[in-house]
Amino acid sequence: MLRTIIVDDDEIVTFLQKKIVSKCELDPDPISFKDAGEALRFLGQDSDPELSYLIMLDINMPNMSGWEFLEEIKNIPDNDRFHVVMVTSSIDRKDKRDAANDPHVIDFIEKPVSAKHCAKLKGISKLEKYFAES
Amino acid sequence: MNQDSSPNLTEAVVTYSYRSGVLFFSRQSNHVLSSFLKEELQIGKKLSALFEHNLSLKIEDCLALCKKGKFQSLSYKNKLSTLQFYFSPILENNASRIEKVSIVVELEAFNSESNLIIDKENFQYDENYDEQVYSNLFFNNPDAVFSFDLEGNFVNANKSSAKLAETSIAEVLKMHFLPFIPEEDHSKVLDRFDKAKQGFNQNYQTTFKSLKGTFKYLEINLFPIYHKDQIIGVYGIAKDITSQKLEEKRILEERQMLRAIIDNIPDYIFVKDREHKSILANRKFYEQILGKTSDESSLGYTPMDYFDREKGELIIADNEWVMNTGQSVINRPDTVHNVHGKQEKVLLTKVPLKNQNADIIGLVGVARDITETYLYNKKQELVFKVIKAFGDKPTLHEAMVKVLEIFCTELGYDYAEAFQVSVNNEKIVRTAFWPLEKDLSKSVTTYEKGEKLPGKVWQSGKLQVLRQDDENQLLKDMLLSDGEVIKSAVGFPIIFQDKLVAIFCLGSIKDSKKIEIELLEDITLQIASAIERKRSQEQLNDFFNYSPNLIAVIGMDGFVKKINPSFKEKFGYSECEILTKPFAEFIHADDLAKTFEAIEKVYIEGTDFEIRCKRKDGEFLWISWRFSRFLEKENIIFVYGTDITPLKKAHGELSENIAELKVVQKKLEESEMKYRSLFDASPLPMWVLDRVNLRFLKVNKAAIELYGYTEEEFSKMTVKDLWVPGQDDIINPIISENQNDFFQVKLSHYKKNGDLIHVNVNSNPVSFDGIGARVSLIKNVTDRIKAEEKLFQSEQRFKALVQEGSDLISIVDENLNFFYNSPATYSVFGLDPSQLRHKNFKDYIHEEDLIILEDYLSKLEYQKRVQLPSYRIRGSENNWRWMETIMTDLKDEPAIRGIVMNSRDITDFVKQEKELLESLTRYNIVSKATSDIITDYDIQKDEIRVSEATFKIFGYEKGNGKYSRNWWNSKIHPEDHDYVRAAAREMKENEVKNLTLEYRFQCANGSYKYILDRSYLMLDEKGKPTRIIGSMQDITERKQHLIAIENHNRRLKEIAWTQSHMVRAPLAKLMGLVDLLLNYKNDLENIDEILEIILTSANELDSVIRKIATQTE
Repeated sequence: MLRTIIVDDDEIVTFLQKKIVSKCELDPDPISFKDAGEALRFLGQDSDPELSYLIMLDINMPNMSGWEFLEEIKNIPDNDRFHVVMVTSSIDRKDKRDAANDPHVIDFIEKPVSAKHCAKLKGISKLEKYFAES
Repeated sequence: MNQDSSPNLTEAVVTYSYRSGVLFFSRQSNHVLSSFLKEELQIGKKLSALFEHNLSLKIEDCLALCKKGKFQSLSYKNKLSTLQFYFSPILENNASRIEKVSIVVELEAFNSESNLIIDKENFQYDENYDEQVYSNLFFNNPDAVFSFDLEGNFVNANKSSAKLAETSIAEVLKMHFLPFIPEEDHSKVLDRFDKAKQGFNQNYQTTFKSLKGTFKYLEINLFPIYHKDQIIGVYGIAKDITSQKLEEKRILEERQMLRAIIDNIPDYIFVKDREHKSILANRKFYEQILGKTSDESSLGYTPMDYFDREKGELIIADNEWVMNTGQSVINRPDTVHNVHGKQEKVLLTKVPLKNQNADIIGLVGVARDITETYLYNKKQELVFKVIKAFGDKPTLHEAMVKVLEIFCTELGYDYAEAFQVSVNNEKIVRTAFWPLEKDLSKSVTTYEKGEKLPGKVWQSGKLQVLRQDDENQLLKDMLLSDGEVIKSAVGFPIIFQDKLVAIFCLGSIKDSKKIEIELLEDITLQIASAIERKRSQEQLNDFFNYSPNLIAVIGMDGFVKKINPSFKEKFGYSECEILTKPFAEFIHADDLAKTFEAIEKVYIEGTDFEIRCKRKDGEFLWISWRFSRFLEKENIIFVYGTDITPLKKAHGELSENIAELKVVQKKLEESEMKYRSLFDASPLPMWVLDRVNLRFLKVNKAAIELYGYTEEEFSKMTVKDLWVPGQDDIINPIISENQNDFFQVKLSHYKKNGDLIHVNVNSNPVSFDGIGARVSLIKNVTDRIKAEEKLFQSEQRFKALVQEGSDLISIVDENLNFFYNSPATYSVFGLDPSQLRHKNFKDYIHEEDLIILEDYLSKLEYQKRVQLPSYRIRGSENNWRWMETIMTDLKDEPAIRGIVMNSRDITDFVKQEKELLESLTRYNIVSKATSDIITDYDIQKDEIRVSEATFKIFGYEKGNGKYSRNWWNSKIHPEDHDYVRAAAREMKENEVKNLTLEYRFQCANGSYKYILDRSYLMLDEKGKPTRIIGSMQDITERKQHLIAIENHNRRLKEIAWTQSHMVRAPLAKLMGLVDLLLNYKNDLENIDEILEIILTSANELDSVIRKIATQTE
């Protein structure tokens, strides 16, 4: 099973993304974190080892940026359960290039996250199996 | 009491034992009871058998009750009379049961008035008894007979009574009985009296005190006195039983004492009768064997009661033998088990017990407990065997194995191991085990602290016992090779002087193997010391065998008795060869005397002596010997030797060196002598100075002769006193710089007479009598100098003449009139030198130039040398020649006495220069116009000429407009320096024609300017690079503009990016929210909330845009 985690310091963004994610049936009740550190703790300590996680990750965040978060999850054992979608409001080609080189990043989305994006996510090869029935 | 003392004829008194029947009866008894008895009263008869049946039954009842301690009375009638029975139980000392009864029987005849009537006032006998008899009986009775009234006052008393009371009868009759009774018996006696008053006969014992205080024991019988059915008094008989009582007491005490004695004897003591029943046993016996708290021998125990059947029968048979044969058993070793199951070793003695008739009636046995002695002996035996093992076995290991074997065989173990703490103290290591074919620990032979039994013993330092069923299961898997399992084990430490020497572990296949803990613990010390001894012995052996030193025992008979292996190594002889020849044969002949002397003195002092000993190959080794012990009785000495041959060799070499050194020293001394005489005899003046203060220490004769001072005067002077003033600047630095070196100096000295002399001084540092000094050789060169001076003057002139010979040389006087001209002058002036003589130099100088030259010429007054700037002189053809002149004032020089002028005709050069200047001026004009810097680098001269603009742009002083390349390069910015230099080199070496460089160049004020340098390489006609012409453009301003623009651009980019991001964030939210509204309008619970968020985001966007607007203003 695939659970969705939304990491963004802006509450409106998490609200919005939660709505979209649930409406698009990616996850009926996605988990959201305002702080990348908290999300990291959750993945490291409280996540269900049986489950896979789709992480919608904002890049620009105080305390811990999306990039730092991406580095940190590499230290969690069994981290191939984590699939990251980088979500950002700005378009920077360098960011996109960096993201493409990271094994955890499966997509790079420009805000706002739309229904179309979500549908596209379901079609990504790594996630396909979780949505095969629908 | 078999004697009847009763005076009463109507009364029978019988003492009766339940066991033995009638014990005693009063004499009248048969008479009193005659009409009731079936047969005559006799000692030993049972009462019940005496009387007729009915009465017998009643008596039986009474006796039964009486046995329980109750007084009984019984009345019985027949046709003639009535019998009144009184049964009183007799309480005896030390008797737990009532054995006897005292019975008093009174006879009352119906038809007679025969009873004894007692009146209060007096006794009246209306009986028909003979008064005589009565009074005899009464008064002469050996017992005290008396009567009391009911109050207890004496009414009557016989002689014996008075005697007992030690007073007269009359006195007694005034008294009450109580004063005769010691207080402790008062209550008892009063009680008895009361009972008698109530009609009960009393028999008891009491203590008594006569009026004189004599103490007695009395047996008292009290009987009531009836008169007409009324008790009117009490009548009593007192028998003195003092001696009997005292005897009894003595016997009792004796018995108690004996009892105390035998009870306190630590041996078992028992007495048996012929039926093997116990008659007596001491406390050890009844406590240890019977398990009782008191001697109950009266119960008649036999050995069968307290030993098992088998043992019991054996003892009975043995006892039987003793009693039958009358022979004794003395100290026979035996084993008994006491009630606690403990086995004891005893020495048993049994002797037959005989009565007065020498009949054997039993036996007396004494068994001495020797368990401890036995154990002690066993222990001693064990220790002895262990020590013997250590003595017998050659190595410690073998001894240990033997000891383990002894432990196993002597103490009944099946397996044993011995351990030792490893050298590093980290483990214990098994050192031996037994039996050798049963190795339990094939894999593990070392243990850590606390590991298994050995480790536990090590850890605790105490004896440890293991059993198969212990919880720790340490005995698991302890299988002996034949399938047996070790079920019990003990480990104990062997400690010697607080040091753990070894650990022994013993194992047994019995699960309840008795482990003699005390024994084991007791013998560890002996084992420890034995091990330690063996170990040190072994170490000593090792020392003997492996010592590189020589150790030997030599006999006073001249033979070596024992050697260590080191001998063989050192000398190459076999042991046999050494022991069979007198040791003198091995010693160098020259050292023999020394050797024997040393041996003789051996017991006086034990110092080392060194002798040469012969090796088998004939070589001699130097050996240093030391005697250690002289054993007078055996006439042998222990000697220790060390090979000191290498030491000797080194010593020899050293001595040679020293000898050589001495020779050298001697030579040195000789040479010194030589030098000393050389110094004194030298024809050249010499002296020695203190190196620091330059005081004269010694002068030779030549010096004295030369300078005119006496030796004494010199000794008070320093060499400075000789110096002609003004030479300090020359000499002092030389002296201080060459403090410890040779130096040479030319000086002028004053002699004592004031003459100046020139000397060459050669000075060498020396050590003189331990002081740092200099020896100086003085060479008087005054004559030579004078000669040289003359020569110099002529030379000087010559030199002056030839100086700069190719040029014009003139000498003028102080007024500049020529008085000498070199021939070359002709070419300039067109006049012969002679024609020029006495002409004035100034007359030939161009007017314009003369003005300038006057200044220079005037300098000659104070300057020796003046270089005149270029000037013109009128030539032979009235043309003007350009000249350069150097004027040197040599007026003081005796050889010249004038001013020397060295001149050069530079007319052609000036012309050339002039042309060049003209072209440069033109060039300058151009360069000025361009405002660029024009540089002209002359490669050969390594000189850079620059245009005017340079000074303006960089701010340097104009000067002559020429700079060295180095200076120029030093102004290039350090960061650009390398690349500019590289480019310049490239240009020169590879002949690159054009070069354009951009670099920073330092201004006079230290700041840098950006320069665009375009250089052009010029070649000469042969194609060799000669000059580099460069044009430098100041592009600083342009460059700075460019940088500023670049920075600005970058910043703008950054702003644009950040702002677009800032703008996009709220915008993205807005887009997302709107998207949400559009697509899921019907599906959203709270549209209002979303709208509110949209507004928030819109406001956010608005504020961001406003912020950007202000920032970019």
